[in-house]
Amino acid sequence: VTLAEVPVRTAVVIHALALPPGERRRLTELGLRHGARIEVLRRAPFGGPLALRVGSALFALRLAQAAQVAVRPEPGDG
Amino acid sequence: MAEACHAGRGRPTAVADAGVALRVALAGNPNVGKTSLFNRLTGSRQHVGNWPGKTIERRTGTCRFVGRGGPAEVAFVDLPGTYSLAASSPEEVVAEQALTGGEVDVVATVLDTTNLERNLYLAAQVAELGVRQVLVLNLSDAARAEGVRADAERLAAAFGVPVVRTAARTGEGVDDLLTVLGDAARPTVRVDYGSALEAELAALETLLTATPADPATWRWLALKLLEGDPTTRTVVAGLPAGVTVVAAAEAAIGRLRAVEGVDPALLVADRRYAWAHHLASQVTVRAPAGRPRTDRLDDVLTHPWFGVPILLALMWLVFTLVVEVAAPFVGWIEAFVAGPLRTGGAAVFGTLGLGGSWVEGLVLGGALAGVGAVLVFVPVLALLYVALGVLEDSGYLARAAYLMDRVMAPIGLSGKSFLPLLLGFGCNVPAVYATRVLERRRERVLTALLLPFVSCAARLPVYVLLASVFFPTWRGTVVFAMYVVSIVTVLGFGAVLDRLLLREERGGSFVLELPSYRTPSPRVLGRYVQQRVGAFVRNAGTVILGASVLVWVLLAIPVGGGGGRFADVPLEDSAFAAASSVVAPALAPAGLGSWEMAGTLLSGMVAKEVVVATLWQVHAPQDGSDDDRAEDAEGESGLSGPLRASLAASSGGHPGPAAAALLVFVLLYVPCVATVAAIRQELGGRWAALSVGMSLTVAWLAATAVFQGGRLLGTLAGMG
Repeated sequence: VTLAEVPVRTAVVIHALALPPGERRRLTELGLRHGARIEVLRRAPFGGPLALRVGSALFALRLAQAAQVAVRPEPGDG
Repeated sequence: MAEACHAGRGRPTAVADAGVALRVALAGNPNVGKTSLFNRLTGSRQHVGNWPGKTIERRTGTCRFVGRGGPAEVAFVDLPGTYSLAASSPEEVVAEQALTGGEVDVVATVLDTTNLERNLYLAAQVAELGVRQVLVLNLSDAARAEGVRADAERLAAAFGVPVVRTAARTGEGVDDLLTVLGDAARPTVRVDYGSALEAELAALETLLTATPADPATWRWLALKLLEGDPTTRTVVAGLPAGVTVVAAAEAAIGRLRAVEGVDPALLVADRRYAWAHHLASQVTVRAPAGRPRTDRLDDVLTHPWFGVPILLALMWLVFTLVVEVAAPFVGWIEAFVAGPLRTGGAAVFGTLGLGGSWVEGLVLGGALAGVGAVLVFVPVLALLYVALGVLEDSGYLARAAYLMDRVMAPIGLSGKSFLPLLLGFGCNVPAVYATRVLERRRERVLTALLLPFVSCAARLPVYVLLASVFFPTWRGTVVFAMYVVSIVTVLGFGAVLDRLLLREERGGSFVLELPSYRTPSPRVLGRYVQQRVGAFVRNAGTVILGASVLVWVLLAIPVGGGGGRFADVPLEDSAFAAASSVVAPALAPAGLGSWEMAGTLLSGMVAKEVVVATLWQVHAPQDGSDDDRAEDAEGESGLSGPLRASLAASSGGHPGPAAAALLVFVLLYVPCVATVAAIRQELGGRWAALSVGMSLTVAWLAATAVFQGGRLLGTLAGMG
């Protein structure tokens, strides 16, 4: 599953980031890295960005980028 | 004991650089209260400029501090807020250069206590630079409110540097920070990058011993080389014995890629973050709390359905605040400049025996008018900055960007550009200044270059006048069409500029932090407004004043056979008219090739408000009393006949298409000197020149297309 498909108010774990190295590094520096637990909080209207909780910070990420992030359900969530 | 610092506030003293005992840089992530802290530390003794060659704000200031060694002057520089020192944005380059350039003795890394993990990532990087450091646990008031406790002692032990707790909003801990600066130490912390990376690092550090590089920077240089940073590569290659190091690093990168399967740069970032994550979990205790206030506010403010209507309502409020509340002040200033100031000035000249002389004309008609043109912007800008400051500091601006991002993405901008562009419909000048809220330089440049095409309120009277005279039945539609043309131009041209300009900074990931909501501090807001308005008067003000004087002089110089004296020339005999005649042929393809039209457009570059006035002056000078003008600008125009005749003459008998071309030209060409001055102040002279060239070209092309197209249609219709 990619991050773009995750329903709102769901916590997931990042599994792989299929982004160019520069962008991947930028996301890593913000905590969006392999193995990180993140939560999709909201979606902006008209296919706008996703609002995510990463650690204790909130970020908005565009859908095009979110589609490059593979995630899996949080362990214990099934 | 740092009271001396606070006492010094409000009476800035000139400080020679030699008197500075300690130079301190404030580093940190965006939204950690760095600038509030800087304001607390330096009070009014600060200076805002730009980093050399960059359009990034550079804030410096000093603080007189009585420490153990007696009174001392501490100089502060507020670095741009960054998440990293990876040199992947101009802000990061600036921050890194400032920290490694030897201009700084101590770095105070400001951390958001509520969000240590990400903040410690940057702190670890700063530590690797080998510069003396202290850590500042800021936002400790917010942390208390959220039930987050950070163990300062453990953090200090981990980094080997002093740690202080502050709350910049209230001033808590600021004195402690000053006291502790003297104890700043080189960090002893070492991030463990794993055996493969560490082995390569150790090998490179050994090779670096042969170079004259400072031992404290070896690890940093080795890391940067493994990350493939081109600047570091060039610097190290330039050192004696440096070429060997660079070659070894290249080989190491290849080995690491083979062993670990990813780019070493990524590996470094990932391991460093893992380290920060681990340390943060060790030093932070989080009391179980209900849903944070920020979440509850976001439920409403970023609601999928209500979010956008709320945003538009707030924007309307800002708009109204800026335009309506400023209006009476603008009125007072205009009345004061035109009334008491002018009368007083005239009286002074009278006393000096210069009454009615050209000197009086120059000062009162040129300079004073210019001063007035500068001052009328002050209330507007002050209110704009209050509104912007509140929106930004409260955390709402990031939400607005989140909501509008989808709309702006097709033209290479992010949601944050929405606000400046919207403000542009009111007035382009404050809108250009509003581009400051954009973090990335590329976005600031693109937005500022698009703004002149946003139809500001001052263009509306021109539309109304021309539409009433030439297209009376379609008046409303024509005016509406101008706004459609404006929006279409912004979107279309935005897509073009996005592909042409600053391509190297294009793309990159759009990740927008949504900071926690906080109550803005009136103190920080006040200082912000004061600095911005001051900078406008100093920078843009000079340009506007100069332009006003220039136009007056051109109008005053007699040229040709009319036989006028200096400052007493009929308009058509002035240098202004002569200059207009020179320009006129260039406007002929758009059907506007007469000196009257060229002159109108030239004067419109000073301000669009002038266009209607000049149309009057050049077409009906004999009965152009102010009362008639105000009445007639509404439509039932005594100007109607002469204007039709004039446009018919300038277009070879096609006044309709020429009027349409004039409308388009007025919409698209240089909005006013004040906007150009603002762009110059924000982005520099070259971008301002590009903006002028671009808008003139676009306006000319569009107006020519409209005129020629209109003429062709007219001919076809006539034949059929």
